[in-house]
Amino acid sequence: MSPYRKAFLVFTVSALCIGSAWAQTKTNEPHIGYLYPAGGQRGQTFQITAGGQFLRGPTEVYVSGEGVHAKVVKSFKPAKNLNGEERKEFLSMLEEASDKILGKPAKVQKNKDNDAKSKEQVKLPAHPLIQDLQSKSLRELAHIRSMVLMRSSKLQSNRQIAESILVEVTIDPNAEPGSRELRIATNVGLTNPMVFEVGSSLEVLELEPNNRQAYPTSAVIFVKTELPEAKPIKLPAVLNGQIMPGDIDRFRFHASKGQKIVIQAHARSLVPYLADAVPGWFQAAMALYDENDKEVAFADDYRFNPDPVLFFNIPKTGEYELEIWDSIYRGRQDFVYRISVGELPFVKQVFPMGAKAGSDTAASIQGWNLSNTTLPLDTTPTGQSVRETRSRESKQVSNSITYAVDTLDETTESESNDTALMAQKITMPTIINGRIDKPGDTDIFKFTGNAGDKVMMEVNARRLNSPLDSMLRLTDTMGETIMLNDDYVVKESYLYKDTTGLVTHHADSYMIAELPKKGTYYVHLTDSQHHGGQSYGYRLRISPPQADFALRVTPSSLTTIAGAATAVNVYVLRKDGFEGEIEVTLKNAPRGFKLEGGRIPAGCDRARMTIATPPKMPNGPVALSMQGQAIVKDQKIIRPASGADDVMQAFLYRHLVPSQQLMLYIRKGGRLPSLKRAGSGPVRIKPGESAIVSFKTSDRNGVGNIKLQLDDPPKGITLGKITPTQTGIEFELKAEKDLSAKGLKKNLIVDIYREFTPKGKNKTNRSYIGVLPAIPVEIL
Amino acid sequence: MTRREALKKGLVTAVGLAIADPRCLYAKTAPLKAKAKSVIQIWMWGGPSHLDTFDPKPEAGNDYCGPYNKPIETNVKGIRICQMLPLLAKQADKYSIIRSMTHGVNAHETASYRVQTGHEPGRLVYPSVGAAVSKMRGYEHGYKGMVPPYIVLTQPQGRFSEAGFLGPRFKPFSTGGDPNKTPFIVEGVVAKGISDKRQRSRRELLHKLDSLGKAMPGSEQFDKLDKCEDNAYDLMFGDARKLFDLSQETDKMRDNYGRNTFGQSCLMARRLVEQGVPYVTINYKGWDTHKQHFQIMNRQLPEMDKAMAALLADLSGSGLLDSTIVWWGGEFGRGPKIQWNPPWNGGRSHYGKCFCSVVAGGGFRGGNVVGKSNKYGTEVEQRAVYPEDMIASIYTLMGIDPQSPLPNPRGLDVKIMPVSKHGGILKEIM
Repeated sequence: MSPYRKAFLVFTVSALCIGSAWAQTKTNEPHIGYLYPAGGQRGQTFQITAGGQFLRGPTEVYVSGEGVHAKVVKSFKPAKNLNGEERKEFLSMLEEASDKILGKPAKVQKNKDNDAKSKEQVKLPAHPLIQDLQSKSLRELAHIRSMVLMRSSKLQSNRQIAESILVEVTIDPNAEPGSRELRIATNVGLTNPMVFEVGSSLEVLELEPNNRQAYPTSAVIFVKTELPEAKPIKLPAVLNGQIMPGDIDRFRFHASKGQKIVIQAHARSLVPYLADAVPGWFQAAMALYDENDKEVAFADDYRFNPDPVLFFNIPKTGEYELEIWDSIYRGRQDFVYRISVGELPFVKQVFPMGAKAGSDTAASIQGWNLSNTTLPLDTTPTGQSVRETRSRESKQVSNSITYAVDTLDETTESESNDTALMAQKITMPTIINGRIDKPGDTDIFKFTGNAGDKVMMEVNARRLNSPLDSMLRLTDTMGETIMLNDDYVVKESYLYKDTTGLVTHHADSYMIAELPKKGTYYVHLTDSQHHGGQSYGYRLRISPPQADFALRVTPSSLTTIAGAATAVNVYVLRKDGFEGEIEVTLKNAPRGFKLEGGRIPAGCDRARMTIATPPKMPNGPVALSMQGQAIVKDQKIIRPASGADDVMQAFLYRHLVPSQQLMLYIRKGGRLPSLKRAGSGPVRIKPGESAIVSFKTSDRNGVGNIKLQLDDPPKGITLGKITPTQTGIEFELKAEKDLSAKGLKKNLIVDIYREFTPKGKNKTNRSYIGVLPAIPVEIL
Repeated sequence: MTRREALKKGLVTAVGLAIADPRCLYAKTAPLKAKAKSVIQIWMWGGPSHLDTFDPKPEAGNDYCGPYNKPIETNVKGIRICQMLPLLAKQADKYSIIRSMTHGVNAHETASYRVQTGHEPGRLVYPSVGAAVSKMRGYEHGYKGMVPPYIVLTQPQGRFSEAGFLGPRFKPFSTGGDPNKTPFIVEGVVAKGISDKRQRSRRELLHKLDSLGKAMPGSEQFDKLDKCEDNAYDLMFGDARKLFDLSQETDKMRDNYGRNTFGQSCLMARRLVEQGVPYVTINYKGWDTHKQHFQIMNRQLPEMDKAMAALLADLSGSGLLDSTIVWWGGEFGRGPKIQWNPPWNGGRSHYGKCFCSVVAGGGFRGGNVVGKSNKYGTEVEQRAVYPEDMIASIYTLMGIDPQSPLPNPRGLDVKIMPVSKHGGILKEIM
């Protein structure tokens, strides 16, 4: 027996430090589909439910930002419909709890005594709602009955949200209001992030039945039961609920004459995309009714955003009922909403919608319930080019405002500039802050250029939440159209690479023109739907090409074990014709973290890389920062590589939804010794030939019976013989003879897995451990 | 013919050759001979999985073939199909499988339009094959059948306008109802809960109330209305009604097709083509299997297998297969790689890059495979067949020149089918 073979046998029988507990299958990654309620009030401690799949063994909860603490209370398997006996038992418990509140004699107890044997045999399945019924009010009991015994015909089977975890959340009184991200760590890994809102107002949870009246006077608990009168909700408040199939939810609140009430729904903003529904989100609609049940206001969107906002001047002091439903009456546990109601600050107009980096800029704002008329913009040169802020009023903060920070000089549009004769003269390069201030308005700008000059014209409006649906036209002095653009979309098949991730109507215009001769040119900007108004702001860039790029890293939640590597996708959004090479690196990463395969070749729009962790890294989450740098005209430019998730909408379309953090979670359960590739530089292979790739480790026993497979390799590249060596492991990469990918440069990702046979089964299962450090490959 | 006449004719022909589109010239001078008189289109609504029907890939592994990893041999050596189609395996000599269908579109609406019209979406909305056949082989060309020339069993598409720019006159007649129920409630022919006696008494009452019609005997307009009414009542009480009455078939025959909506729709389609209806579409729902794919396949494939095999055997046995094209397929295939991850948990996505279709009869030779997909069914490896190639083949077999002009509201010079930029019609099986 050769020494290598002997060594290999030793590996396979040796006790591995890689335990099955951390064996991760690629398809069983923990996933959250919803949080309910999806937020809470500052200074409060409360429970929320996270629904998802593969959530076994939850250990910790992580919430981004400061001041929010959360822990796992309990996890639940998928809640099945109760069978006959369970249903009987559940109703008996409801009867007992409701009788206690109503002061009725304990007749259920009598039955219990008579039928103690059968009683013992009925154990209700664990269910997040069937807990501590004795402490509930009658309305809460009616709600629990309604949700638990919902007709099965109404509910579809949705395994992806069938498991649940009860989480206790505490929000510090001084926690910053706004959107956070919540992730849960399990034995298998870290879940995707979900939006969690921190608010300042009272939180209210819906109580069914509330379809026709906010507070019906009776409901079925065990039998039809009279319910005590309920007081209307005191504003301001945040109303929370879940829309089930065919469901309508109503809430009652009190308002006084003259109040300017803003009612803002958060539904799509909580769960941006549903993969298995059309349209691909909960499309909320809201209506407001007065005391005579007359509809006084309605909204099913706000401008182009699916989440509706109602603005209502209270004409008469009294009680009002608010209704919310899905516009086509779908529903599911993940149709979660939060509705902010009250005299809340709401910014409807902001101008300018951005500023030059490093400048001292305050934007003017207008809207409802605002005491501020200006809003200072943070223009710190380092940071993202698109930022968010809110107007801080005395007790509340406003809705989120999106603005841009750019490096070019800026100018402001000055009316009237509606005709070529009155066109506003500008000097390139510049960004013009303007508004299509009335329906049918056209803003015209003129500049001079030479034959062959390349001029970029880009509108940044919809991406900054402006309702403008821009149309750009370039003309010459004779009025002849040289170029026209309505919408500009960056997509790869069905993957939309819009940087906001949330815009589905890509209404901003963008074009590049090569000037045919020396002279004056006119840029015409209008709204393609002939709308306009003070809120129709824009930033129009007219400049020579400004080669640039943005980077998105998916997924935003990564999991590995100490010592192993994990793979990420880096998407490049190239701008103004930039085709150059980009070098991606980790920024301020903990010692021992290493990014491999960070070079994105020229012209390439996507690369896979790996992030390796040190073997002695303790378990827990690590927030990562990544950045990319490139050389543009002898200048080095550095851009952040932001975390994002590749999310599907309506069975087909995909979007890169940005996340606040890029998190890597070191799981418990084992370690893998570091594996380092022998040699440097890319592995070069000719068609029809092969190459040997070696990895070295200081702990040969530690890599034991691992197996390898290529993960999405270039077509025609296959894995050959895998051989243990005295220093580690080596394998053969083969290239097919008729390989068409000549000249291809790509990182090769190699999965590490092991196989095991569960006790009593013949089937072999595969457990994924991680990946080898990325291997750059060149096809010669 | 004098020398002068011969020269004149020669000159005219030469001028004609010089100015005419060669394809049109071909159409006018050499009309195509029709081999097929009718088409039965089995529209697999939602897009059937190519891997789980006629292009199995057991070698691709569990992530691609799932539990269907044991394809079965057919009665044609070398052709294997999914293990869930044993009855169709015995009929393989009657049909050909196109394993290299492609158009690259993954959205239902656009893909349905592509596959049913053969055209790329554009400013003109083209008619579906059925509507075009209805135009070219329907009432304007001597069709005198008792029912409309383009029948849909049982629900219309809804994904796009079948008639396109040809207008409502060429829309299909959708039967509604369920042929597996007795009676088969056919829209406008058999009314639910209304007896014949009651229907006739309604007509009599209507006539009694028709004071204007009585006051204007001999009016051309009223005569036309009366004629329409007579036609409608012929449908309701005449032979047409018998045509839709499946109880006239033996129980054994009905059982052969399967006692379910699809099975009885296939039987109904056979009855319709027997009567000379040129185009029948069976809209077979339930193939958009994003979730629970294999559970649904376990239920649906046996139903499809039984009905389609019975249809082929029945048409073949009666000799009708020689003049009837059976065209099986959907708007696309399904993702070859199974989506095990949430929310799909074992589903298949839309896949327009590579999928399969099946054709039989009417001039299509059976027992063949056209084209080839790669090991995983993800890409076409040989002989890409686009919808326009498939549809042009069907038109050709029906004696309709794919390059015939098609009247349209904008008066543009458009042809029934665009000239193929790819492999062209399926000559290898025609």
